[in-house]
Amino acid sequence: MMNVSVKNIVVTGVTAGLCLPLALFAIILVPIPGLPAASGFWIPAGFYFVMTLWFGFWGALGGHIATTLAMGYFFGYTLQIWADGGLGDLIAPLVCFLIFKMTGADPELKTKRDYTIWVVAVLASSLVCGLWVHTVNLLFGVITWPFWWVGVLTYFIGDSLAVLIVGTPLLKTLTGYVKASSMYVWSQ
Amino acid sequence: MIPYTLFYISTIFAVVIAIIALDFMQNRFTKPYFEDIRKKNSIFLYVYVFKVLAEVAVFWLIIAFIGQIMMGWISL
Repeated sequence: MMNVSVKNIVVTGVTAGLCLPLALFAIILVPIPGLPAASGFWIPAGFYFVMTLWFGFWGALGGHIATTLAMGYFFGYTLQIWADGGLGDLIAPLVCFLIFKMTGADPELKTKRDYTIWVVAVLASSLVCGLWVHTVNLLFGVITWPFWWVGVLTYFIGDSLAVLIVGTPLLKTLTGYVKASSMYVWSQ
Repeated sequence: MIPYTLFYISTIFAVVIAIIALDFMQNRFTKPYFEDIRKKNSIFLYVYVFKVLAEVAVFWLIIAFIGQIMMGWISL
């Protein structure tokens, strides 16, 4: 049974509050040579991945709430697309967290091994997320088969780039401070 | 002549970036006292970390805004 404390709710609220404006406005499309669609450089992902590595499920939940709410702004989207994208953004950082948990890597990225695991974890979780989002889209008839692999690939590239570029300096500079927190999941 | 809206927004961005830069400089000066303050009040740690995250978020919002102008999503 998971215990819910006020601190957990605060972490979820702060993560959602930080990620919501980014999820609403901070997306840039990056054209990928050879691909018919551009990759979305999804900046909020860098933040909720980091918050998840520090605070566990509560950080991921904050990211999920922010991205689900932000997608509501785009009125043309159906509930299925909100839920699909929002759940994808819950799954991805948790996959990254799980890989760190299994390998015992340090989120402060102190060694080459930590860096390697961070990069591999981001690539793996972005791929899982891309597969989830676009397979659900395919099953609901939002996209067709020929576009499925393009969607997965552009999602994988865009999310991975954003998490690595935005998240790496955050982990490197702030994890040392967060380690002193009683909420830092690795110290429990 | 620079359009008024562009001039206004650019000025706001410049001031925000200056504030962030000054805050980072201030953090360098206060770093030796960080542990002392944190031990006196544990909330200080969260205020510090969340403030830095918010500053980085604003920085990325500015980059995204410029990027969206270049992509043609926003026109001024």
